[in-house]
Amino acid sequence: MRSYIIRRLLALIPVLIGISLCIFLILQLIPGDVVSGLLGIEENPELRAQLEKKFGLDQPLYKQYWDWISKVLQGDFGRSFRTDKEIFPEIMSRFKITAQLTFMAAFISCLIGIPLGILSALKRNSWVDGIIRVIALLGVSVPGFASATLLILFLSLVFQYYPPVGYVGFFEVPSVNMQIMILPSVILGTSMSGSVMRMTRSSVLEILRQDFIKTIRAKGAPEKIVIFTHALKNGLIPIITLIGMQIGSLLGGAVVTEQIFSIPGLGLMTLTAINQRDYPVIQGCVLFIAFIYVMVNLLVDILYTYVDPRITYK
Amino acid sequence: MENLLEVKNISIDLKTRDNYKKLADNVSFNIGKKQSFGIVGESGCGKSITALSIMQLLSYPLKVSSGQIFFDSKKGKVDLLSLKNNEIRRLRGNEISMIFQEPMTALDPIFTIEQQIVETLKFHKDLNKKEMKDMALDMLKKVGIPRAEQILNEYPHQLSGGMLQRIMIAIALICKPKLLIADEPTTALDVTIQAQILELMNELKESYDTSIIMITHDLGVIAETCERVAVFYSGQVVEEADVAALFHNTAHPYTSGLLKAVTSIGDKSKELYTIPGMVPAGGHMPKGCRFEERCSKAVTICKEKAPELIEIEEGHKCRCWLYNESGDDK
Amino acid sequence: MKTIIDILKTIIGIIKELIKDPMGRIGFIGVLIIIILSVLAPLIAPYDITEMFTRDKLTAPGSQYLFGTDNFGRDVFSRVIFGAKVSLKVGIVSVGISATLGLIFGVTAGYFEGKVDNIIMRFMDILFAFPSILLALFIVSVLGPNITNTMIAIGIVNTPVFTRTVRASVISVKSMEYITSATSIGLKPINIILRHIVPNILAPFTVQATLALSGAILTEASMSFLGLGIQPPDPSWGSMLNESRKYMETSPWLVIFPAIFIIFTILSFNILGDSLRDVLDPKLKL
Repeated sequence: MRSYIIRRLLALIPVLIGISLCIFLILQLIPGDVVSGLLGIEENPELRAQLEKKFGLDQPLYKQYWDWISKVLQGDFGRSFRTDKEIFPEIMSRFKITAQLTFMAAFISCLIGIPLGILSALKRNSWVDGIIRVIALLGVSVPGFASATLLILFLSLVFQYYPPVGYVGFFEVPSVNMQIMILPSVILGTSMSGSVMRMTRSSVLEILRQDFIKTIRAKGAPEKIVIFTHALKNGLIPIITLIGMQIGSLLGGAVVTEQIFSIPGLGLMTLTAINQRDYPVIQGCVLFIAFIYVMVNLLVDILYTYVDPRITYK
Repeated sequence: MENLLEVKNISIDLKTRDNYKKLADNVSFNIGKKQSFGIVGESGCGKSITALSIMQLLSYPLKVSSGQIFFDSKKGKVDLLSLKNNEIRRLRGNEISMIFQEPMTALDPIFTIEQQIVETLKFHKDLNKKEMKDMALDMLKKVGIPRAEQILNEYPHQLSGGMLQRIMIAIALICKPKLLIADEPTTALDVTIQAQILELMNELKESYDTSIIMITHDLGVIAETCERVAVFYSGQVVEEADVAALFHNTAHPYTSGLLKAVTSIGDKSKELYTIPGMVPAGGHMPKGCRFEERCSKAVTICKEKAPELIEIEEGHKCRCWLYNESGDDK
Repeated sequence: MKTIIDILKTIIGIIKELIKDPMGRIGFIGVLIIIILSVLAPLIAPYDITEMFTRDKLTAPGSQYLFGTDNFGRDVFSRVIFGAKVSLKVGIVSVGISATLGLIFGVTAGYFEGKVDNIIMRFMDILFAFPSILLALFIVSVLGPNITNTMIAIGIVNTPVFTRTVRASVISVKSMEYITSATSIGLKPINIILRHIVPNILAPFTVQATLALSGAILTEASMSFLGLGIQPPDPSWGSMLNESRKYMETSPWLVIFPAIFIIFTILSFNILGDSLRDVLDPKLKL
């Protein structure tokens, strides 16, 4: 088992190198160059030379890449152009916030999605199924920012309620933190629950068509056992994969929600950096998010092997 | 009750988009106690769904539209089709068991063998963990599984078809049912394994006093394991007799055709015999005899009127205009 | 050889099948409405989309301005209609890009397998390693936010999904017997691909394209919402929704109408995609 994990980690390395190369090369595509952006209108050759040296831009490309990547591996993501603060510590503290948002959203999506998905499968083609499928469709089709904006509109008009501004950490004042995080988590969670509902439904239906379900019934199993002990456990496998993927993608993709609710997470950090053309920060954030995404997917794969005994560690 | 199982006038419908197809039409037969009864017919003739209907295992869009199935249960004579959910499930796996055709997919892939055998006991008996494990071990040995202790901890995908079918038999018999329904249990297995499994079933039938319904398309299997047999064609029983009578005193032309097809295999001089024509499609039943189109002995009345299943000799029934109630040829 | 008439006949046949199912009807009509709106936008829109009626800023919906006006005095109705045109354009072009790239890469990877397959799929894995909106934002941040770069960014982001789908279809079709017989009678690869493989992967491909379209429209709206997609004053539902936030309480119509249209469009394409999948699944050949 351990050797399997190690092998998978090793296989990740070319992918991670590829990602970092990709990011690095894409940034070279910036029209004009970084220094011009910093200098603004004043073109001062001395200042230019100074800045170029400071950011290592006078070096050949491969050396620039190598410098960057070797520092990254040591945990040094460089400093922001704007604030000159170290990037890595900022990423880590923001990451915790985004992670909290992501897990709360994932939890809500499972809470809503899995039971409704099962119900929808069991009552296949009935009106209950119909309603649930419509809800799932809406979840998938209504973009987060639309539902968030509409929700805020509704709350302000009907209840005169405005989401609190200013972030407070969970361990500082839990109640205020929850107040801040609950709305965005619900928006994200209900959005995600749409695909969880659909996946659960199709997964359970697929399992119920299998031969072994007949055997279990023929053994005299009560329907509850057929559904929950056998069908659901088997059906969970693709659902876990889906949720893992969603968590991974939310860690960077919650950008819109963070913007609307002013949550100082990783997505917002990236967005701000993009707007400010703060390239070291953009580079660092995108790299970090991609890395986490890949790691989460790996974790899901490993979890998979625990749940399904048919997967052998080849 | 004199018989163990009495299937009376069972009809099974398949709901299609705007209509329904009758896949089993007025099927009746009786299974005696400690009797092995064969049901033979080609694919789609209705034998499997009739078997599934016994334990109410049919699901939408299949449905039993009429008929009754009487069973001599521990609590007396019951109509299985009238039982409610919790009543029928008390009988399943306990007094009536069923095994299926594909052993490789018949077990839940994420549970161990022990868990799956013991599960049946959990549903029907009140035993502690150790007792159940011992029973499971004992049962595995009885069905001829070597290294039973080890096998208990393995998963279905690790075992071969033959082993899995033995385990299925173990699961089916562990509560000592009165009736075992075997739906093509050896079709998916190699010929050598097939023989072993059939032999095992014969042995167990003796030691457990269980009646077996053996569903198959293979007359050879019937010959080896059954005392009595019903021949299905296109959703109806066309002949029912003791096995010896069926083979030596064949009545229905379809049965003769089947026998001819089997026996021509060893005959090197001639072509393989096949029954010409095809089975009529579900929705378009002719008004006369369903086999008429393919029958070499058909006469005018065969096209006009559908024959009834009548007793042509003691214990020998046939559905054909060639015969009269007392067995005279027409 | 398939003629245009044959192709048209097949398409009409598919549409007929689609309409039989109520959901299919809804999706088809919804998408049709959006297409009509976007094509006829110049004719339907009562006002010029950039014209500012400074005396009528932030008017509520009424007989003069059907959906009201925004903070610049522009007619919301006209802008929303043109927003359909923009969304559809971005959707179609970006899906066109990813579909074409996906087709090329997917067929190459699936048909030739081996090393070529490995390299292509590794590359796709790398692209897949980024959450899609992040990658799109990243590309656009580098190239500069405008409509063309938005289309390129979304096109690139969706390419891996197409590549995977196409590759999977190609591999499964390739293993079928008629391909082996075609190869054995000496047909050249390019002929095999065009005449036998492509027609058989069209079904999952079309479903994927429809669903990708709804995804592309969603991504564009999100990007414009964040200010990194379609730039004002060009109308985009996403950016309109973003701008509306400041005036939400006093002028809720600024929020409601763009939101309704976004939801309606994405929903229609999703329903259509789902129904198409149901119709095309058993029937695979063109």
